[in-house]
Amino acid sequence: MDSTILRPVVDEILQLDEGGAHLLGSACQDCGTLYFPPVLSCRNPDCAGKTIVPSQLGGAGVLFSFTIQRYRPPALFALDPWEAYAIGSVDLAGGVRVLGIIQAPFDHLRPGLAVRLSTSVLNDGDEGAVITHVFVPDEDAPV
Amino acid sequence: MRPVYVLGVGAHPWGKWPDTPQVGLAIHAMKAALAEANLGWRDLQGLVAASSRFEGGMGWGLHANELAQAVSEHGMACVNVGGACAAGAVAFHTAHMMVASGQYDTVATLGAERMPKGFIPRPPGAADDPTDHDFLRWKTIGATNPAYWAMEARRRMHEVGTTEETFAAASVLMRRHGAHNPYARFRTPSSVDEVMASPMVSDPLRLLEICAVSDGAASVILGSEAQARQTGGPLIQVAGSAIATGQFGDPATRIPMVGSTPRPGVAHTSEVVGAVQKAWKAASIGPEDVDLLELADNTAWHVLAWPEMLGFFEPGESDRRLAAGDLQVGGRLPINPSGGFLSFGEATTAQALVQICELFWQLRGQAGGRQVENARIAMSAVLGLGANGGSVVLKR
Ligand SMILES: [Zn+2]
Repeated sequence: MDSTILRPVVDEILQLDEGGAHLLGSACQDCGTLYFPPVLSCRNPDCAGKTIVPSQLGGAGVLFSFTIQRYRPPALFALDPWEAYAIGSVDLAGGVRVLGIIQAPFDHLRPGLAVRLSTSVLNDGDEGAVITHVFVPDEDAPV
Repeated sequence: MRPVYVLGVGAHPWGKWPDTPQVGLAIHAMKAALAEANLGWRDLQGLVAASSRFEGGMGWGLHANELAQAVSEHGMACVNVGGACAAGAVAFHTAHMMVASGQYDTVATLGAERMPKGFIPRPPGAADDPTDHDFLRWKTIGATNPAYWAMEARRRMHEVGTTEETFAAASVLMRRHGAHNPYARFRTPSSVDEVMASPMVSDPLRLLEICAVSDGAASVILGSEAQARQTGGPLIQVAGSAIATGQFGDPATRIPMVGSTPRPGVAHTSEVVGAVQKAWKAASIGPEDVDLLELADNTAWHVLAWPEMLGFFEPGESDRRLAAGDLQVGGRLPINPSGGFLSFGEATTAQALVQICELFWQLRGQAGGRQVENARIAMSAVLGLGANGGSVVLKR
């Protein structure tokens, strides 16, 4: 096993490059709506064109709400070793709200917390570490 | 469109019934509804069934056909409708239109369910599709249904200052009502201390603040005025029946979405708000006219949030109303005199129909220890996967 290889758990929606981590979504060229995950069509009823192009999402965001998941979800979620973790909804620039794991001490969590997109290892798979998108406190955010 | 009446309702008690097949639960509920309506199987010209994902329906969701073939092959029209947890309301709405159009005089609706244990999983054999929110929420986040509701509850605490004790008190109220309902699964009254001591599932929601899953079945039979007069008893009219889907920009993070597009000024859970407003319009009433409300309390958060969301109260007002006793039987707006999902456990496709059974029992004065005195207008509201909202108003 090569632990330096990082493999997104779903590689169609998460990308790593020199600039860091990006979520892959869609943007509507006609009304500007951003979507995550990628969509086949814009769903804004006031948008007539609905021309969809790929779009990278990420960077800084604001925690809208959160919870701490105390019970282990079904096996499709391969967090190993298992421990309770936080899930939150994060408002990103452009009016898209994204769900993700929030990697922060539980007692730091509060709506309004400045966060940014990152990645975290879910488990050490056979062909490299399996990672998923997470949000972490944004140390660079203006207070 | 002609007026439509409820001729009879019936239910199988909610619980875990491993030895009774889903069709057995269905037959039990329908027999009870037929008896209440003084009808036989042959009198049914149509049956509209809520299609389940979990069991029966010959793999195609053909639950109405399955029942016809099991119990009465007399050629009635069978309609099977989807709508997930709102499917019972979609079935009711369909049957209502069939009778209102004049094409059918007597149509039954049915929802019957045996639920799998634990967290509701992905459909068996579902593909690993990176544009499928349900796949992504499990694979990349592990977000269970309670996690979604918990984030709403946490946000409510932030916005209007709801306390964990108030969520617990809302759960206690549901159990207090359910204690008087022989169809409810959990009939032992609880206390705030007991709820607060139950395990934290998804902060801030505890085990006794989240609905379990149950097996159950319910049926409502609709008919014309002539049919209703033959049945006897006070006439119970369908004053409004509506279904709706969501609005773009809805701020709710719906199960199983991993991304949403909230926009200012759009109603939260707009599919249910839309259905309720349409039902009120059809009934020519407003919130001030409603004597009791059955709502889909998947959690204690719903008990507080929905009356505000639907326009009964101002944002943040429910907490005070709960403390003042306004939401209990005998209060100004009794919420879930049946005991709600927290006393039943959810039997998904049957749940919206057992709500309507309760409206009927209340308006007929048959609700025993949970009777809302002199109830004349009763209303339900339900939410299902796929942004399905449904609402029914019955009046005596
Ligand atoms: Zn568009």
